[in-house]
Amino acid sequence: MIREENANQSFPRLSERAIQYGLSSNLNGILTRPPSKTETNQPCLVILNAGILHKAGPNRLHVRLARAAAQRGFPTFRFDFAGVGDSPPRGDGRPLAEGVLVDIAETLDLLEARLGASRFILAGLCSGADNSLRAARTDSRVVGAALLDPTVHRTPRWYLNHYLPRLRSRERVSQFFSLENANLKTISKTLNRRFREGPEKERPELFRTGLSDKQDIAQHIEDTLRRGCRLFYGFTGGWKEYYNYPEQLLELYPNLSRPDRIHVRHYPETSHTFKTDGDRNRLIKDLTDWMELIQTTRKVNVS
Amino acid sequence: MNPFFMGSEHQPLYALYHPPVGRGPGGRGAVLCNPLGSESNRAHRSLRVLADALSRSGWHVLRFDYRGTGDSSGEDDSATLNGWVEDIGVAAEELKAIADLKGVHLIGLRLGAFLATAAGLRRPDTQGLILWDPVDLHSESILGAQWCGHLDQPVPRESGGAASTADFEKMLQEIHKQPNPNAPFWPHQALVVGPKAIPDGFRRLVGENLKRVTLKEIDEAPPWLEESDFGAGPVAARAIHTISTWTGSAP
Repeated sequence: MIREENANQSFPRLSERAIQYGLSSNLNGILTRPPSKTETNQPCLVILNAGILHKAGPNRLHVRLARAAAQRGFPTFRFDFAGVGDSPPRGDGRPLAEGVLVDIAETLDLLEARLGASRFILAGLCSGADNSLRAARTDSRVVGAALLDPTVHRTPRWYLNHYLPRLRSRERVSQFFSLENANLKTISKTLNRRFREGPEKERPELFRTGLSDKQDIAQHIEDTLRRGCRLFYGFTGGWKEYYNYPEQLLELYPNLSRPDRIHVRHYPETSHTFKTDGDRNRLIKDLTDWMELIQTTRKVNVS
Repeated sequence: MNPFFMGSEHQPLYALYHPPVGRGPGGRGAVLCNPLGSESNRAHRSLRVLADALSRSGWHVLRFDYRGTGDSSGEDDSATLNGWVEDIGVAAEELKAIADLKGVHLIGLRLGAFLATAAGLRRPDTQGLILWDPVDLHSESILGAQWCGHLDQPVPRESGGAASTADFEKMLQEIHKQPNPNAPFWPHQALVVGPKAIPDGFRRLVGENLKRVTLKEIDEAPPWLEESDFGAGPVAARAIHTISTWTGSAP
């Protein structure tokens, strides 16, 4: 079922249209089309939910990105997964992780039929990033995926970056070794547990939304790159508990066959939800620049 | 639930119409008025659940985003309080046209409660007002949990992910200084849900009509005031139940 309502000029020279579609739920989305004269055979950008936040995104990030991308010639679609935001829960009883992939596939089907689009770029923040990667791995229509603060694991250098500055501070060192220090108690508990139970597998603590195992993620990235898809990684300062230097991703996965298809940007001063205008504008410019270069970039680009 | 854009071609507003799906007296409609900034994100789910609950009771319900917010057109800095009050009027007219209604109830959450009151006092077709956890203009955050200043302090240009404008600040100041004891219109029913007492800002706005306002205190942590800067917030089940029960007897 496809239902469209009220085409309107919502932004100078852009048009936005509310669309209801989907076989397993009435998914709700908004299509932002470029000015008609500039629309080309560009890939269509599809923006996924961040967690259970509705399709406008944190601090309207998705709305701004959609309109900026359309201004640069990319048709853009933002929608709510079944059970999130303005889309009602699905009726087919599929589990969440599987249902999300069905929703993405149905969305691409819609846009393929509606726009004649054959190439897509997925973008998402947090769980939206993980879901983008999961879909990009298997759907050959996806030529690029922008992953913002995805699930990521720490490296030895992450620990150095994290703890070394603390060790340089005499005051912090003395605090650390004080008898009341909670860190010492935690370390003691962890060591005891490890001696008793063997080494503990490290997992990210938050937002386990389908991807959590390091090797599983590596396999997703490798499969995605091998089939020619390109990846944009954006890491914010809000993710510093997991990611704290630009090269961390490629150090984490040193054996990828095509690292040249990965573009990493690190925004250490930016919050996880891109709270300020400056944060949002910087990301949107980097992302839309990357989208324009997506077919020509050949080098690893880390900054 | 049907999504569409409404309003003028130059300022289209994103809206969702929830048609009645359950038994009820019929002929009743409600426009839901959002809070702003990060509070809006955290309240989205609760407002959707409330809309579904009302539609199951036979109500026509319209949710929408003010200009410069959510999925509606416009940038953050294009938004003004007066503009948002006008947007509520656009939504009320739209719902009346869709459902062939003579009047509507306005249900406003947080700053949306203030906007709903301001819109309701201008419109003779406001049949009821429900002010849900209304923001206390004297002491509370307006755009999000980050700003807890007073009205004699400048509103930050960006707070909780939303921008403010000089016009926005000016209107807040005017609201603070100018009580409105002689409201031109006052609906048959008015309910304040959430706080222990009606905030002073609303006392001024409502004036002599205060005695016609019902107060229902809710002992529930408001999801929109979570400290975390992320997440859509849990559903405010008790408040939704209270509103649904109260509206069950609405004319």
